[in-house]
Amino acid sequence: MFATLLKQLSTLVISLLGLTVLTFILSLQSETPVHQFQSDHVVVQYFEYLQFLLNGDWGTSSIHKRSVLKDFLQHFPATIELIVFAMVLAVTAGLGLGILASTRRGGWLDNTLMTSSLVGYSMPIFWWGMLLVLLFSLTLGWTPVAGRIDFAYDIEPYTRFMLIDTLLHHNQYGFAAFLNALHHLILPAVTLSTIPMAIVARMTRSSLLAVLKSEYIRTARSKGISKQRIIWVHALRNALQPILTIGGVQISIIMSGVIITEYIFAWPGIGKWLLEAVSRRDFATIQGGVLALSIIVIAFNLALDFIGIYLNPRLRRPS
Amino acid sequence: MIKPMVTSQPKPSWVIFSQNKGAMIGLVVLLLILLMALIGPWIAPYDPAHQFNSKVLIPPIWDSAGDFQYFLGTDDLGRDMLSRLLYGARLSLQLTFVVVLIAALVGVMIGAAAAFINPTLRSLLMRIMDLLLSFPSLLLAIAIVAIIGPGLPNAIYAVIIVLIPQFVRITQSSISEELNKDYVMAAKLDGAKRLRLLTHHVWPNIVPALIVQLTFSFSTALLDIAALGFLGLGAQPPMAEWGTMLSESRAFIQFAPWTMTLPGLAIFMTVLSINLVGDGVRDALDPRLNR
Amino acid sequence: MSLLQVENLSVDFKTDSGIIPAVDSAKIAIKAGQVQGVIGESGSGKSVMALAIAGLLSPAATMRADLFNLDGHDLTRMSPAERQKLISSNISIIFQEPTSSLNPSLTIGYQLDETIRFHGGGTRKQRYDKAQELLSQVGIIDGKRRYKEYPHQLSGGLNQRVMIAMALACEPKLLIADEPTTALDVTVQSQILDLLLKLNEEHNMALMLITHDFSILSETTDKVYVMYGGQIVESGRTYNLLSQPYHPYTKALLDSVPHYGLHYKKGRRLFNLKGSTPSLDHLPVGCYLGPRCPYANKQCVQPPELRSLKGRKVRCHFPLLEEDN
Repeated sequence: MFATLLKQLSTLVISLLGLTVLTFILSLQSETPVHQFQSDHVVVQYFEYLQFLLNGDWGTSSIHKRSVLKDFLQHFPATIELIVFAMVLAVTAGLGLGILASTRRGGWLDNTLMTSSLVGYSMPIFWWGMLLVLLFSLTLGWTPVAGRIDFAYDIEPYTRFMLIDTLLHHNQYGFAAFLNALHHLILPAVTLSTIPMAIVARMTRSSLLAVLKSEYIRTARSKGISKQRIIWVHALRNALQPILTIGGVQISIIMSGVIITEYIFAWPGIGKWLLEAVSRRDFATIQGGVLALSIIVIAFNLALDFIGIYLNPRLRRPS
Repeated sequence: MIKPMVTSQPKPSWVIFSQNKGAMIGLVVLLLILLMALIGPWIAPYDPAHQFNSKVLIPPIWDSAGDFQYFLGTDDLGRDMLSRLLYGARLSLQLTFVVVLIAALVGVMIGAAAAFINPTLRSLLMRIMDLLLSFPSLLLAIAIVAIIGPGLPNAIYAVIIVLIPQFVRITQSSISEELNKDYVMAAKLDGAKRLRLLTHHVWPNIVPALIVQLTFSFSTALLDIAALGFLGLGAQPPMAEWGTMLSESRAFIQFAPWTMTLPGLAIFMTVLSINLVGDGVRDALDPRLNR
Repeated sequence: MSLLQVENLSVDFKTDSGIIPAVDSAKIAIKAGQVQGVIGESGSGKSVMALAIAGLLSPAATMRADLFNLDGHDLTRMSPAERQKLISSNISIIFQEPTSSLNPSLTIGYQLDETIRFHGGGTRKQRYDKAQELLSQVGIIDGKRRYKEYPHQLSGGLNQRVMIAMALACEPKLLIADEPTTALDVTVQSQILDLLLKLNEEHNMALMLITHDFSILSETTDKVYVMYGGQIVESGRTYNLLSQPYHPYTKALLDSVPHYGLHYKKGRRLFNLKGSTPSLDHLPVGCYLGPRCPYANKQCVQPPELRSLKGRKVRCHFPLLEEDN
């Protein structure tokens, strides 16, 4: 346990160092310097840069003349809202579909599911988003085309999480504003969750099928334990472990996807903010944005490792 | 689960591959796309950049307003969609091919070198590779484009860099794994030289894993190049690149959906067929890599 | 009356290369409290037969039987769910690999408790006491500690004891032990065997011992079945069968352990078979042993029936006589 923790920690430190080197190089590209360094030596400057970051000074945008960290924190909640919603959707639906497919192996549901998950795996998310907009927004008129909420609602950004803020305006609008925000959230979240959902469903199915063939499942069956219990208690716990190992890939896919999704749906989050900065060569913002998004990825991977340790007693309690 | 013991002859890889229905369909589609990319300039009816000013946003022929002169319709500037798609296939596949080839070459060389350098240095290098791998590939590409600036050449460099770590990882881990096997130990004891060891014993054993990685890298590269084009960071208009075409179509989704559906379909079909072939190749070459 | 009576039990596996007969018209009868052995090499169908009796075949397998009576119930007339319920409360099974037969993610205690819950139940406290009692019955001294541990923290021998404890929790009338000691250290093997025999006596629990090793069977079992190519080729009282094998395969199996067997005489040449065990998808025509058997002749292309001979059953056209041994 202690050894694994130490390894995690060293990986974390190396990752953060490597990352800050990259963003340091990025910040040096800026025409108007992102930070004022005391030293002329680039190595010393790097350490000064780290100092600045730790003090919360992530530089000032060369275009808006605003603090990068502040800007980031303003755009961040919109992205988090989208990602969390999409992830919950991807994981619950992916797991559910995967379990369903594995219990009806070879049936039409299984075949349809596996074919569509292969299709989902190959789907360019930028095209998928536009197709969904064409179908659900423009043709059927079920969902809004873009944005987080209708202009009719005047929402004070208390937390900047639209779902929470609209609830805080309950006195003014009732649940109408909340539902409107939810309505805006659905299509981007579906767009973002499709590919991870396909992968999770496929992984769940194959992992569960492999586990169901194992000897301890045979033992459980011989004890007369019910089918449901065998799947939910005996099989899923073990099947989840290989699924977790691809969780890191999933967060990568979601992070790449969220940039595109925000671009398509004009979602005022980090992705859109970062893309704008790239096209306008605002290096202070690029540097801060890349750093922040990467920290999220690293933190997420770390969390996954801990869940993996929790789920696998062989890691938690070595013999 | 206990199965009766059956000793049958292992099938040759190509037999396994040819029995995989999905992989065969994928291969046929992929070959068709490749053929179109090859002969595109000769069968394309028009110059992809030529603007027929009086023929703006003509729908494909299956629409009642279609025009047989423009089989798949025209875009907002009156350019022929079919010609643009054909030239786009040529461009996308060429780029993808070059990108993957360079990334594979560089990655394999770094990986092979890493397998023989001092362990501390190797572990540091592999940690860096792991870091790059854990990075969202598009975010990494965007960061690189941000440094060197938008545009097609820079987008290509970015995608190459994004693809390299996979090859380093696979090469290094396969070589290290093979080097620890008994037969290599035996060869070492017989006094085999390192290079000979590598070419004769180790290399044939890592080729399957590399081929599998190569096919999947094709789809990643194609998608990332298109995504950068879509975001306006890669190929720039008026270039007939699939991602860029999609990006240009955004304003006309409602009135001219074909300007969006067709290039997207082209990307999707290509990626899907590559992935199908990749799945088949993986299952045929190395059953251990099977899901 | 027999506790378990099975006649003409056949199991087929559907595979890519066609249908494979893993067990072919087997006939088994076990009385309450009896100890029986099944012996055969890997691929002889003995494990598949055990799984078929325990109702644990994989979906790729189909099973047929003319007669399947368990504790006075006719299982052939039951729905699969009823059958499974009856089997799981009367038959327990333990396997060759105890560690992988236990769920790696659940504690020993959880798995034991779950089994007790499904067979009798009781309050939490009662179940815990019952679990501790079972653990001490199978010779695990520090049961309180082991209860909280995971399978990977226990040795193979201890895990097999846990498997036996879980089997006992079902209070079975028959325990099938499929190569229970093969994966264990030699010194642990005899401990586990002794434990199984002790429990057989104390609980009047019939025992079906499946193995590839005659030395395990000779002193423990009343009756032995010999399997080859999915068929029972010889069966009879252990002592008789060991001292006077009728089937050439039984004889070869006995002679595979030099200086062993009750028919062992100093200076006699060991008897062995040519070639190797046939693959189940390429079984020879007629007698499955035919191509390997030194006694085979033209008649052996006709499949031999299992027939009675001096109180035993043997599947051979030319059973060995006294002088052949």
